Amino acid sequence: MDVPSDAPAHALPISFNLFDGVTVVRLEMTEPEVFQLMQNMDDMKRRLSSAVDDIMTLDGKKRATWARCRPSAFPQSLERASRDNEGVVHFLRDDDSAGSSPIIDSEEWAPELSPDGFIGLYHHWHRSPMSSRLCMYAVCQSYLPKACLEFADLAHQVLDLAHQV
Amino acid sequence: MGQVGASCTAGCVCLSEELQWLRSACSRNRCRLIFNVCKAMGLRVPTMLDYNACERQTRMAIATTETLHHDLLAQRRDTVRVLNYCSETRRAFNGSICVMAPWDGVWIFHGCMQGVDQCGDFGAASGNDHLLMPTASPQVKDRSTFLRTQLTFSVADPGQCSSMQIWATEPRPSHVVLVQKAVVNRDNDETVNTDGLDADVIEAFRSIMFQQACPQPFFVPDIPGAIPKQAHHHLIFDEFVLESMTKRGWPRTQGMTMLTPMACALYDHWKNKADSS
Repeated sequence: MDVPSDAPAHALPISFNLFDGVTVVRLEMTEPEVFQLMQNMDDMKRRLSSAVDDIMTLDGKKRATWARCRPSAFPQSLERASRDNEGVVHFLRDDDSAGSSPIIDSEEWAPELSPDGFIGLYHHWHRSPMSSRLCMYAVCQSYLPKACLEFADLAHQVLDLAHQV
Repeated sequence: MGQVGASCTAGCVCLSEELQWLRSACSRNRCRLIFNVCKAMGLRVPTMLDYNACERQTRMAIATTETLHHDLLAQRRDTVRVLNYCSETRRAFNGSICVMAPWDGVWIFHGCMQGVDQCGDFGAASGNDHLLMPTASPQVKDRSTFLRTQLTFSVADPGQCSSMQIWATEPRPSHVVLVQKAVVNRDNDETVNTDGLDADVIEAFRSIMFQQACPQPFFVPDIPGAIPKQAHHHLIFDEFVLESMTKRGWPRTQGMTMLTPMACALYDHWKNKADSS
């Protein structure tokens, strides 16, 4: 779906799981180590389950939320915003100010697995004429559920504001 | 966004610092999860400092590759593109990930492989052409869900999600996995050969299938209204689908990497366990 850039913000269908995605990381494990893990699958599953349990029993205050953890400093685009005689707000495009300062979380947050998310260990035999190797991968599908939901709500609030205006 | 209210446009949202932070935070969340799990399990993983974290010593895994199911992208022609369950190859830095059914693992479709390490890299964008690749194997539960699936992608430009429309426009019996309640009866383990497969994944598969399975064998029919309720289908990437993707521009000769599951922890597993305890 292509939306004109100058369309109202509420024209964007922002879902509650925006930026849900998958990350693959190749582990630095040797073949003998991978084989050893594969021979003790039950132990590996138990340890994986235990690790996820520990991660998910996080302190509620540390859960990532958009309101609490988003960068606290105003971007330059907002610092340079102005309103003209007709009441229209003009501000510097954020891409013009990109790179001016790193985007730092305002508060600490703990990682979490989202609904429909998973984290798993996978393997693959890479074969090529030059070399063959057994590699192990960690795969994670997740997003920040509370932060994304808050952001979607904010987008809907913009819609409400637009209706009021 | 909240401060500017009605003056906020789609372009402003897409390019806003807030949105970029959310995209980055979700990505860092996945890398932190992988780092934490690997650390707890004693697995070696490439790591780096999370430079955007409030706590400066926070570490996270270095992603080999990443693909988003949902994304907003600013286009050159002053438009904002909404992507749902598909990704742009020109944005892919190392292959394009597609999450299959749990028992099929994760596939990584290769891009251009020139000058890359065959044992770890999956290639950059697919040549000079811009392609859209699916990021997940579509699922169909019943007629209403089937319609909802179509609705999800009907908001997209047909060309944009053409890779996903392979199944919607050209369904045939071989595209679906037959599911029958008797087959997925969890008390009857002999009906499904699970030799060599991950027990947790099989359990998750059976749990899902048992909840969603239809009482009779079922195909995606070509007769409107003929799909019974409570049917559940995992659409598969068979020869026909891969051939269709090739016709739409995917360089099949570049190949793909199929990651085979060893152990997988689903959110539902943890949720059910937490609820029961």
